[in-house]
This record gives sequence, C-alpha cells and structure tokens, in this order.
Amino acid sequence: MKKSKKHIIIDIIFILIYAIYWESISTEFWIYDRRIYGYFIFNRFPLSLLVFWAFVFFISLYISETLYKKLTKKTEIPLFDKKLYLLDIIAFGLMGTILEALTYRWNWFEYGVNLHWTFVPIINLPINAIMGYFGIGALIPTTVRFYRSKVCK
Amino acid sequence: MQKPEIFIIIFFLIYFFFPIRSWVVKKGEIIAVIIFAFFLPITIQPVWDYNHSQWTLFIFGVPVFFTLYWIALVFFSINISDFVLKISSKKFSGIKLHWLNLLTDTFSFCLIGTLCECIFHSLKSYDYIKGTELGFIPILNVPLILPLGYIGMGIFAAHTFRIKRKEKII
Repeated sequence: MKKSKKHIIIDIIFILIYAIYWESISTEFWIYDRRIYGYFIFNRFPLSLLVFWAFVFFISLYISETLYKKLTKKTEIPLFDKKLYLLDIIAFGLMGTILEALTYRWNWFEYGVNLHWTFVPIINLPINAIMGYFGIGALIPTTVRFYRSKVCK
Repeated sequence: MQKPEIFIIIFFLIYFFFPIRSWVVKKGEIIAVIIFAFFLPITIQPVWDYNHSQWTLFIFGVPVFFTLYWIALVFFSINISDFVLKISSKKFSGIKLHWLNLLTDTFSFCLIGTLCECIFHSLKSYDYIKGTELGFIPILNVPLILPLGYIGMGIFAAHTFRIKRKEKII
C-alpha cells in the first residue's frame, strides 16, 4: 500500500475513534434538533456528526500542512515543529469556530441549559467552545502524526 | 490554605520529586504543559460548581491551584506510564511498543485522574452541574464521565505532551 494511502486510512480511523469518543461523552452539553438529523448512534448523537468531525480534521490538517510546506519550503511534514504546531492551532481553531458558528446559526443544535456559558458577541458562540477547538488543534494533530509515523514506518 | 489546595501542593511535590530526574527534564515538562494547564480548567469551568469555602484564590472563576494540579497530573501520569512500559515491555515483547504505550497511558491517566477526583469529591471541593447523565461509579461515587475523560487524555493527548517535552529539552 502506498504511504499516502496508509496516511489517509490512519487519519480516518483516528478521527472516527475521536469523534465517537467525544460525542459519546459530551452529549449532555448540547441538544440536537432531531428533525434535522437522521440516524442517531447509540441513540445519543447524530451519525452525521462523524462527517462533521472528519470534515473539520481533514480540512484543518490540509490547511496547516500545506501552509507549513509553503512557508518553510520543506517537502516532508515532521512529527513536531513549532511553526507547524502554531499552524495546527490556528487552522483547527478557525475551522472549528466557523463551522460551529454556522451550524448554531442554522439552529442545528443548542447548548445545554444550566451551563453558564459566556457568549462572544458578533459570532454568538460560547468562549468555551472556541477555546475547545483551539485546544483540539494543540493536542490532537501531533498525536495523529505520531501514529502515522509509527504505522507507516 | 484549604484542604484541596494542600492536597494539590502535596500531589505536585510527589510529581516533582518522583521519579528522580534532572532539572532540565522537569523544566521541559512544565513548559510543555503550562498553557494547557492554565486554559483547560477555564474551558471546562461551566461544568463544575466550585465550593468557594474550599478554595482561596480564583482566576476567571477557576481555583488557581488547578493549574498546578494539571501540570502534576499530566506528567505524573506520563512518567508512571513510561515506568510501567519499561517493566512490561520485556513481558509483552510481541506487542509493538507504541501500542503497549497506548495501553499504559490509558491506564495511568485513568487511575491517577480518577483517584484525584475521588479525593476532590470527598473534600467537597465542587459539585457537578453537568456530566452526571452517564451515571456514577459505585463506591467511589464520582460520575462515570470523569474516568472516561482521563482515558481520552491518555489516548489523544499523552503523546503530544511527550513530544513537546522532548522538543523543549533538545
């Protein structure tokens, strides 16, 4: 199997594990509009959210890795580099926030009651959700690359 | 100083002096995790209702000592995981090291994190506003979401911290 194909398969497996894990434990914090979504996994979260996470991950990884290659004029993506790390955080933070803002504006979900979220004006999202996406960018892509490097060795 | 804060200081000292390692390594660990340790409690702050009589210092509605707790928790768990890996790698030589490391990470984060949460809970440091839907663990009486959250950290974040620590040292 080609290296790039293996990369994609590892990315998909990792993203699916992450998405199922995250959505399973965090359902309590959001209320999904059941008229909009179709099938619910374990009757807890919509199947389409797996597509959402795959989209966020693939686009963000693509943006950060492409920008890194262009900025540093390198052809290979290292396991860790400070510039790449910063690009990961920015790409995930921005992509996640944009998609979350759009889906929230379209009333695809609501934030759980009782939680004292502080909303950011204009984009109308809780600051915690935005910080969460930047946090994902700081933690997950490096782990994805770690497993890529180990499995594709 | 209140009981949970004393517990965090003791936990931090245990982490800091065990296992014995150079100051450079310790510095690398702290640098690698400090931003995460500061922002994580603030990000997940709405989930908890902190008992104000049990904490003295707050920043953005979160007890300041939690930053110290997360620094200690992350690298204490990683160090324990590495120690367990060292012992078990000879026994399980058939399994690739990174998969074995995944198991030891999951185990150590879950065990240490849940134990600390039990102590916080017994000291009445906070109540849970959310996170109880999955139910409680019998005897320990803490929400099931907590060990699951720590398992997630072991799976998805441990290697990032390890790599960051290495980069800082080199």
